[in-house]
Amino acid sequence: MDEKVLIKLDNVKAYYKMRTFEIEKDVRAVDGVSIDVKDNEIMGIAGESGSGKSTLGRVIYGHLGFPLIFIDGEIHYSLDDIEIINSPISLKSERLKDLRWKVISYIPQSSMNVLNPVRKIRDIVCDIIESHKMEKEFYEAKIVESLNHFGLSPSILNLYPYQLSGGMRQRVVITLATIFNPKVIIADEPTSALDVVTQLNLLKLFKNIHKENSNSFVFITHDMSIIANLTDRVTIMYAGKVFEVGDTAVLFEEPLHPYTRFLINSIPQIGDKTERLSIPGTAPNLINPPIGCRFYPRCPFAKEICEKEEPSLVEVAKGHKVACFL
Amino acid sequence: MSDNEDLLRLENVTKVFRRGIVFGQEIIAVNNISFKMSREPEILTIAGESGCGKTTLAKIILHIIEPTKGKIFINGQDMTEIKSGRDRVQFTKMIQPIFQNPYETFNPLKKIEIYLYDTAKLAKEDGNRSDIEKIIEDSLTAVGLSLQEIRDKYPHEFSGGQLQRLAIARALILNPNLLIADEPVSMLDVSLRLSILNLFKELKNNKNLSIVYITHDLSTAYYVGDRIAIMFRGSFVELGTTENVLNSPLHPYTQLLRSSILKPTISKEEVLGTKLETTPAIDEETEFSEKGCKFSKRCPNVMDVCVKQEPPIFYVKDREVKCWLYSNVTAKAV
Repeated sequence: MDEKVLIKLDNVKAYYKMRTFEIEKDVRAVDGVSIDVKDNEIMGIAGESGSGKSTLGRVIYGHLGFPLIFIDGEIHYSLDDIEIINSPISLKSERLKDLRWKVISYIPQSSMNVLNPVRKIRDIVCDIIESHKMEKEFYEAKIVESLNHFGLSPSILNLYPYQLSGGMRQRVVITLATIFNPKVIIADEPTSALDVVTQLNLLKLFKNIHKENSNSFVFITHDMSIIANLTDRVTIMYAGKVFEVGDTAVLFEEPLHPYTRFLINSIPQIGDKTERLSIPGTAPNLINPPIGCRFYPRCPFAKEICEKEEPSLVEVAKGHKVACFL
Repeated sequence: MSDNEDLLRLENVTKVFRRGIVFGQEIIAVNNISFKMSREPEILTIAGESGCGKTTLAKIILHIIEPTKGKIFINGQDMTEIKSGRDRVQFTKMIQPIFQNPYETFNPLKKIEIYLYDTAKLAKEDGNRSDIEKIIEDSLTAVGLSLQEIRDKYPHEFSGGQLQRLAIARALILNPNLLIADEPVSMLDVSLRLSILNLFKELKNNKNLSIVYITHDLSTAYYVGDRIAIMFRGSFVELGTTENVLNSPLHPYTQLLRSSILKPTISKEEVLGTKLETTPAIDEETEFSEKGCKFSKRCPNVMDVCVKQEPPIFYVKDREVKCWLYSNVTAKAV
């Protein structure tokens, strides 16, 4: 696999600023994350709700704005021949805006609800093509072609979004996100609201797009079975921190962090009725997270050091990093 | 009320929703469903995709809505015949609901303990304060909490998993025979999900409680359920023990569902690499109003008879299957 790094995050911190009764609070949704997105790979970001995985997706996309504040760190983009370094000191929001949809695109979490309900699909498509100053005829033909590819008839272009089912709307959004053949596609829980049958078709679709265009995907999900089947590499997040990064196959075979181990073991499977233990306690509050390792109050292997010091992300094998004292 | 009566029995329950006033369109949300649960405690799973009518069925069992046709028996008593509110309360005490979203179950401005005290007063009308507190403490212990922990707290001070436990504790105060849990874990994180599922198993074993567990997630259904009913467009298409139904599904719809589930393990063969089959766009409403078998448009084994006539229920060993494929295999067709 090509080891070229497309997007590199270096100790990125992004907090939500909250203000209640004149007291300012920070929600540390992304707190010192260093990961990279390589060329031609599907990278999964997994974690529970409130682990900061969606915020991380937004940060990678460069979609920063109040209340989400970029606090510290650097994001290097090296896409095609464009080199951009985005950091709190020099925010390159304008330049990143030019890249959107053409080089890097984003499929938001509730993608069935992002289409303007009072405009026909055709108008929405035209708006996007025009606003990017692309040749209209060429891309219209391309849209029709890729709709066909996704099992949608071109006649839906004349319909309003509400006339389509959730799965169809989602496919329209994915068509739009992939139409300019971007280098990186960030998909935030694109399948969480769908039935299993539709979900499987959609995942096949992603895999096909990836195979044909050899672009990179960042796939954000809480579902470990999707991670296992779709992704090449996976990042495990917990309470705004990266706990473990590695090849999916390696991580599933021998997960090192207790949290990863727990995540993988906690999924009930058909054909297996053995008693499974749940993890005690709940995820920490991100306004006031624990000082040491953020997992230690729930960790069965917690030691004294875990309470006082924060473990850093250490490389244990090639490409396999873990943040744990064990 | 005798002891050999079934705990819950549904006979040909149908619910039709009408849309529009004059030229109304009819949607049969629950279509001719019959099943029973015996006094032996068990967890019955009702599984299906969104829009298949599983929540409507739960509401019918809970008497939140009236069925259009059919009868519901609780302990042998026909619920559709009871008209007075007081009698109805006596019976509904035996069946308690758990809802999907634990954050919406409780009023955010009310302390949690108020809910528990109010319910306990209903359970023991002439009890004094210490009696009531004992009942509350008992049911909280059953879900792994204590009165000490929850005193003077508002709903926002609890996590989703704890709130769901509290909702279960509230239901247990009335000492019910049956819990109807409508997607109780779908709003919860994986780490909390399992604790609720384990609690259900525990309640079944220790408290002799039967549970109707409604879900769209077949893997959790396999984990907790004893029997499973697969629901599609208003009818049960397959009913049997969880192992049988999910390990060797008979109905083509169950087979489709089963093959769509991804395993959370790394497999050698690429599951997703296969060519995309272009499924024709399915219009839910036309599928609901299909004359024959409602799955016939998508079924790989479709026959002539499927389009024309709705299949009855066939019995294959201990299983009920609603599919024409099994018309020859069965001994008795109903």
